[in-house]
Amino acid sequence: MRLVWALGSWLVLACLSLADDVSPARLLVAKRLLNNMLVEGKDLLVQYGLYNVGGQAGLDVRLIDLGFPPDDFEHVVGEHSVRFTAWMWPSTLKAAFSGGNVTYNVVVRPRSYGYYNFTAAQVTYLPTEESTQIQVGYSSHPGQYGILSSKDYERRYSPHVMDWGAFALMCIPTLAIPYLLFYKSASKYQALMKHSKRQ
Amino acid sequence: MAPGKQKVLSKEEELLLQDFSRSVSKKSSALFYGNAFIVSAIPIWLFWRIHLMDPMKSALLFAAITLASSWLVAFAYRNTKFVLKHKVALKREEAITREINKKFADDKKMSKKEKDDRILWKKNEVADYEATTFSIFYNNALFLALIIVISCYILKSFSPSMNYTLSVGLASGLIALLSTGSQ
Amino acid sequence: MAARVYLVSLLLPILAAVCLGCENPKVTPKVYSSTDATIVELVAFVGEFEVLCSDGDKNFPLFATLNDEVVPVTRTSDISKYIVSWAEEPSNAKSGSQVLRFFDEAGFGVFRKAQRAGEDVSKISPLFSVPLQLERAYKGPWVRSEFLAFAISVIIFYIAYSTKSHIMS
Repeated sequence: MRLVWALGSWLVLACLSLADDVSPARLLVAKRLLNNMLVEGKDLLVQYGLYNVGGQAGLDVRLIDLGFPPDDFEHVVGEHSVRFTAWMWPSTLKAAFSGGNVTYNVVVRPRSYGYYNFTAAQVTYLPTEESTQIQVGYSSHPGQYGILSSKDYERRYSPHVMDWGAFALMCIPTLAIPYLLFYKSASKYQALMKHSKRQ
Repeated sequence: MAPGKQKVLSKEEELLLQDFSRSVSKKSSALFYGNAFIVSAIPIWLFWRIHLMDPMKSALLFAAITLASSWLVAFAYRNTKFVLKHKVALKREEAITREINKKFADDKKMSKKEKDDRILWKKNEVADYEATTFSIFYNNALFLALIIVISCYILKSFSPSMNYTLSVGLASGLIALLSTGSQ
Repeated sequence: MAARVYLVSLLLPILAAVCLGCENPKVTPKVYSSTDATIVELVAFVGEFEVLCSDGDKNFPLFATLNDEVVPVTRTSDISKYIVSWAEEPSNAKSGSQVLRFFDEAGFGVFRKAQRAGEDVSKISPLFSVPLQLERAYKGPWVRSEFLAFAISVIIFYIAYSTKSHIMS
C-alpha cells in the first residue's frame, strides 16, 4: 500500500514538473509560542511550522527571526538564523518526501517581564528550481504577550516545599505544647474516673 | 459530696470559681500574651517566604498587625478559658473528690470542711490549668487554619500587604468574636 | 532550573564507511530537552550538532531518523551546525534512551528505499549516531502545598472542635 502511494506520488510529481503552468513554491510560516505562560527567566519555546502550499519544491529555504534581541532574551538553544538544506516539497506530497512539512524549534529565556510584542520571522527561498529571484515571505506574528515576573511566578506557582515545611515546624509547638499539657491532665482524671467506677 | 449525686456547683463554689477566673493572675496573663504574640508572628513567615513580601519594607506593617492580633488572640484565649473552666470543673469534680478523699483517707485529724476546701481548691486549679491549655490550643488551631484558608484561597489575588493585613485581621477578629459566644 | 542544556563532547567512530562525503565525522552535540512541563503546552527537544569531517568537507546535507522515523534537520545559516528539533505533548513525549541516527544523502537513499520496500531499516548503518538520554519533563506537584497545609489545618481544627464539644457537653 505504502509502495503504491509512493509510486503514485512520484507520478504526480513527475506530471507536475512536466507541466509548465505548475505554480511555484509558496511557503507559509506559522510562528507559535508553545508556552501557556511566559515567565521571566524560564524557558520560552518557539516553534516555526513551514508549509509549502505551492506546486513545486522550495529551494534554499532560509529563516531569520530578529524578534529575539539578546538584550531582551537569553539564547538557550537553536539558532535564530537557519537554512533548510533539503528541498521543501509541497505539503500535499509530504507522505512521499521528507521535508514536506517542517517544524523548527528554538528555546529562549526572557530577561525581563511586562508586555512584549513578538514579531514575525522572515523566510527567503527560491520558488522554483530554475528561478534566480529570491522570494521573501513573513511568518505569522504571535503578537503581544505578557511575561510574568519571576517573583510573581514564584508567589503564585512555586510549591515552596521548604518554606511550608518551616511554617509547619513553627506551628507545631504552638499547637502541640498546649494540647499535650491539656491531654496529660485530662487523661489523668479520666483514667481516675474509670478506675474508681470499676472498683 | 457524694459522687454522682449532683452536677451543679453550689453558690459558694460558683463565686470562688468566678472570682478566680475574673481576676486573671499576672502569670496567666503573661502566658496568654506571650502565646498570642508567638502565634500572631507566625504569619509573617508565611507572607515573607510564600507570598514574597519584603520583610524590611513591611516591618512597620508586620509589627502593627502582629501587636493588634496579639491583643485579639489573647482576648479570645481569656474568653474561651472562662467559658471552658466551669465545664471542666464539673467534669473533673468526681475524680478530684476521689483523689483527695483517697489521699487523706488516713488523716483523721482533717475536718470535713477542710477536706472540702482542699477539693474546691484542687478543682479550681485543675479546671484553670486544663481550660487555659485547651483554650490556647483551640484558638491557635482555629487562627492558623483561618490564616491558611483566607490568605491562600480567599484573598489569593490581593496584593501581599493587603492580603496580610486582611488575613491576620480577619482571623484574629473572628476568633475573638467566636470566643464571646457561649458555645 | 526549568531546562538543562548539556554539552558533551564525544568522538564517534565511523559507523558507515560507504560515504565519500564525510570521513571520520567528529560530532560535538549540544542537547536540550524540556525538563519542566508546568508552563508549556508542548515539550521540546533541540539538538545542535557540530560535525567535523576529516577531509574538511562542510557542505553536505544530513538526514536524521529517530525510531526509524525521519526528523527534520536544519542548519545554522553559517552551516556550522546541524539542528534537529521536535516538540510533542508532555504526556507522550519520548523519554529514556533514544538513538538519533544521521545519514548522508547516499545513506538516506538506501534508508528510504528500504523503508518503501517495507524492509527492516534498523540494520542500515548510519553515518553516525548520537545516543540520547531524555528525562521525562516535570508536570508539576502531585498535590499543591497550600492544599496540603489547608487539609492538615482542617484536621487539627476538627480535633480541637470535637474535643471542645466533648468538654462543653
